[in-house]
Amino acid sequence: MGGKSGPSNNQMVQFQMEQARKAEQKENLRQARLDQGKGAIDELFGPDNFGDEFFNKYKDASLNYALPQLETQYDTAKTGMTADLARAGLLRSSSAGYAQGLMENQNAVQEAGLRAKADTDTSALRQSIASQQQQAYNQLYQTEDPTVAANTAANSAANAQLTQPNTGALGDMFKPIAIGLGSAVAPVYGANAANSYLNPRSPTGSGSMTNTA
Amino acid sequence: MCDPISMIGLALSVGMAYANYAAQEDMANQQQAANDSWVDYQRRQAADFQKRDEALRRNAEAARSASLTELTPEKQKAAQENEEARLDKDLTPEEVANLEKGDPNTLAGKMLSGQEGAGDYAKTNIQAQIQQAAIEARKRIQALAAVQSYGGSQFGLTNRANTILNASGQDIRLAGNERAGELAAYNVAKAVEPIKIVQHGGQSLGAGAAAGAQIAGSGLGNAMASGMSV
Repeated sequence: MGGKSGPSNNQMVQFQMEQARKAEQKENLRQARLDQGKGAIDELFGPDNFGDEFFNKYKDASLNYALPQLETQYDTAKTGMTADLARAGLLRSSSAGYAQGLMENQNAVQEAGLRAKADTDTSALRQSIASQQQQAYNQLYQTEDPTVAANTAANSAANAQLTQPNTGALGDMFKPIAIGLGSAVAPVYGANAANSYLNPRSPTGSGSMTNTA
Repeated sequence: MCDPISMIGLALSVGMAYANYAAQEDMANQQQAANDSWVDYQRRQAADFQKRDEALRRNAEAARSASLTELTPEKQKAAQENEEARLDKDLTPEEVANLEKGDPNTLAGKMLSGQEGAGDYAKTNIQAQIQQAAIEARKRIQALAAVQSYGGSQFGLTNRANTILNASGQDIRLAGNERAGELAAYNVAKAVEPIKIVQHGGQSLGAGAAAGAQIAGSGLGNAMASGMSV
């Protein structure tokens, strides 16, 4: 007789559902890869590789290079100043204290400046490492391949370990303190005080001292 | 009276019409069931998608709010002060700190060779000037520490904010990427069509009923015509 009803597009609907299932599975796998890749990147750029120890090592290396140069220049300037003061007969005078104060001030400020520079250099290194981490993330999202991301991160980490502190020579860190010249310190001390400081033995003769900084 | 052929045709027509009606009802029921099943499927897919999407949105929101919590004015101020204190200590050479405090040994160590034999007055005067120089240097170093703590230092405000926002940004980016993927997968499920039920052989039933009706009608017509002619 006929007249039975039935689905006309069953095969197509089953295919569509199968595609939906596959899309979901694929997305789950993709998310798992992303999570895995992000975990790998976070670990490679984490505290185990790039903790305070790593950055302190860089900063210390920078300081260990720069500070001895400063110390050498300080010692040289101090020796020269001692000789100049002795020649001017001011070694045991208050004028010597003034000169020594200038030098100690310069030394302290210059050292602090070098320390600050080492800190900002280390800060730049931190930013560089963070930038590399971002690049590794970018590659992860572009490829959705955790292996590529991990390799990129590992290479970046290895390169970062090779980063060198600034090894340029320091310029002259100490401005010469002229001893035995005219009373150029008058603007600082006032004319009378300058005269008394600069020429303790002979107000009109040698034995003057001035800061040319 | 009605002839047998007409009666058979009428019965056939009625039977076929009923069968046709039953088949159509069956098809409607099957279509309804298929539609219900499709609605259930779509509802499940939508609910699953909404659940996953909401979880990922919450992840992103948690990252965003956590970063904001770390960037409140109070926390930024505290971070800046901590950094300033760290820098103040870090930038100050130990010797300068001792000179500033007037540590006698450190001050004595700063005397030049040849000054040992100076009188107490001269020595005190020289050391006082050295200490004063250290005090002034410390003030400059403190100012330097304060300036650095706002920007360029390792844990200064700029770096700190960048670090916090980078970390939360990556969590938000991951959640956003996964949400987009979820949406794409959901769209595939959303495109699944409902099953369409059709009637196989339905036309022959209708045709049978029509043929039966034609026979019955024809027989009845003939009978009526012969009756009128008498």
